[in-house]
Amino acid sequence: MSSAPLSDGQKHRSIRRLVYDLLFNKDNPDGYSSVFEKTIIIIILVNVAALLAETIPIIYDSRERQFHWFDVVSVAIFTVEYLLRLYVAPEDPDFNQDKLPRLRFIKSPFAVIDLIAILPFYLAAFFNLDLRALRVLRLLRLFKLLRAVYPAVVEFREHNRDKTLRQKVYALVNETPDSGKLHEIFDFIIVLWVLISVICVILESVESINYHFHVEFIVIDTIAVAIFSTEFLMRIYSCTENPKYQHWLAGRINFSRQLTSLIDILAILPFFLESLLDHLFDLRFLRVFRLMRLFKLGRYSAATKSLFYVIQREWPVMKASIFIMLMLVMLAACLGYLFEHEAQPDKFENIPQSIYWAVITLASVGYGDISPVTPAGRAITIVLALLGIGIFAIPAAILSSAFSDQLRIERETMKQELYEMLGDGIISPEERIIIDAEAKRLHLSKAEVDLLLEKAKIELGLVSHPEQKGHTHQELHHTYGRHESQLHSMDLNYLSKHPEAAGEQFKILLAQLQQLAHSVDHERLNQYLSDKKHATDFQMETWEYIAKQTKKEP
Amino acid sequence: MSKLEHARVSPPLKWSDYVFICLLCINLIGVILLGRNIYIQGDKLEQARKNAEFVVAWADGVDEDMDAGKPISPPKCTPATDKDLKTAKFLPNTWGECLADLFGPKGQFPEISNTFVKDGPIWVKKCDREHFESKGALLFERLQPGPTGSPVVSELKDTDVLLSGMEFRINLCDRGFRLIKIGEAKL
Repeated sequence: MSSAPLSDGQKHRSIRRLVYDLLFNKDNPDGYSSVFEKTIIIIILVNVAALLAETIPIIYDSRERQFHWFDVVSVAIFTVEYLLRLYVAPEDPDFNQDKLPRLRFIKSPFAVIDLIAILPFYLAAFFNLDLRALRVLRLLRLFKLLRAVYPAVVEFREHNRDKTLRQKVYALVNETPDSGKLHEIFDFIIVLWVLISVICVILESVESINYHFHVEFIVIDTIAVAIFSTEFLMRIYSCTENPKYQHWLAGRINFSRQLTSLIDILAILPFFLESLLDHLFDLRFLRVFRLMRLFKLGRYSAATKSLFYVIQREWPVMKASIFIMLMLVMLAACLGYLFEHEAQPDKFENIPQSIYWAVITLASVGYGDISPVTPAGRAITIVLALLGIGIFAIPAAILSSAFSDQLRIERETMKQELYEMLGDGIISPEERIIIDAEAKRLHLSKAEVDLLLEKAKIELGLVSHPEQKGHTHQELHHTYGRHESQLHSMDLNYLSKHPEAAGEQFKILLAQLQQLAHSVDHERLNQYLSDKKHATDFQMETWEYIAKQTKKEP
Repeated sequence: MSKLEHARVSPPLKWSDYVFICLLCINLIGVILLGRNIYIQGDKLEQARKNAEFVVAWADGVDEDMDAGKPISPPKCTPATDKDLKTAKFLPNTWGECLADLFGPKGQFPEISNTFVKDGPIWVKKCDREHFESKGALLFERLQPGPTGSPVVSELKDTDVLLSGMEFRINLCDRGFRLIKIGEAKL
């Protein structure tokens, strides 16, 4: 099929459309609008960090040139972004209703912010502006983040308009169907500050760095504590929205006793204790606890959650394995002390010292700082080293198998959710997003998810049998392991919601019964069913009716 | 506004919501106040550290001036050489006299004061939690070569004679009464 060549105007429009679709159209799944937006956000954040770093002479003085070039590159990127947005404004549904879409774009609040973010740089080229004033103006780049935050706030308000403050707070700090993008931004801020504060705690321990940035570390820590304590209060306040913690007091106490809440408390407690009690006690050791903030990230990792759950579930078995391990360590330490103490009284000085040797040997670490010299001691070491491989492998094996088991259970749960979503026969875009997110969490590839969907559709009677579509039944069964009985219950589930399909199914079943009545030996079947052990009265009566009707028909 | 929109208006705040908002505000104000206090203390520590660095720089200057044969300022901090000690009527300067002159109104650092405690001592013998005023003060320790080669640290007493080549360490007592090493110098 040939098409007419595009005119210059059409070509121009198609390029403009292409640019808009690629970089700015959020509805285009094949575009890069999300990547573009994230890149701009990262550049803004790095810009703000650079701006703060410029106020520290020890960093800025020796790298003035690099800072300048970074600023030039940043402004260049922001300028290109502004010009691109201006160029594609006629394609943007927010502006293309106007006669002059580009003028409307220029007057829009976000465009004004974008312009303010770059204008000081160009103004400085013409006017002799004070460096400090310029820096303050550069801080305005932070407002560019509003482009990402504002729509999320609007969406959140829209979704939670009729909700109480507590419900809104709950939706903000926890992932709920109404959380939206604002929750993602909230999580991002927490994760970002966890990383910043942990890096600072690590750097603080380097004396030369702490010497120069002592005050800066204080400011960063104070901001981190303000954020984390606010987050903790929000979680405590809103936890009663969770059915598990409904009671206003007992629920909150139970929530505070959760591991994640304890981590939250440990993340902020050192700040309060150190600032209030430092003149009374030496509380330097508390600074190490600030590293606990890193564990806060566990909340955002599904894998960590699964691991904690697995450890919790397998704890009785783990306990038994640890008990055996401890027994072996104690036995080996006692024997080591018995055989080696006389030969090496300085090394096998006492049983605690021997415990150290036993653990290092059992764990196959073998530092070699304490080693046996007597034949009996060496024989013990050989047995210990061999046993150690197995004994230390037991908890690892338990965890590994339990972890894969947990993954299987979660995949089964996902399957069940899929069946529920397919109850209406279709997967909506919202449901697809949920499926994709869940698949990502469970490390399922796109092909596996598609196969799973196909299987679900077959089982629900929405499409034809798999073997006709090129998949063997074993293949599907191997991947998803579903029982036939479950298949029937799923059919009934589907039929109960679809009367027309139920009617058709009824007719098929009736035809099958009639076929049965035609082909079976009536006398023998009557004899079998007349026994009360084999059939109820209702079943017998139904059979008699069907048999009678079948005889009437030719 | 349609009826539907009317129905989707947020319910009014309850007393528990007000308690939460108050708690949030109190927490934020508390953190800001505590943070401000730590910042001020940190700033004072920074200033005290700079002061201590001036003293280290002065001590390094003394060493150079001695080598160049220049007079030492203040004169009470001039260390005695081996030649001076052999002179019969020579009265050597002591560490206490030197410090008094160094930080005195006519000394090298009249503007230096204890940044943590107003009118507190500029230098102390011990950084002690039981002596509040020792916070922010300088602490000098004498360094002498030890038998293993690494220097042995001992108290630098006011009565100790200033000797040429004498090595000492300058420390700072921080807000938690912990010693921060600033530098080492040689007279």
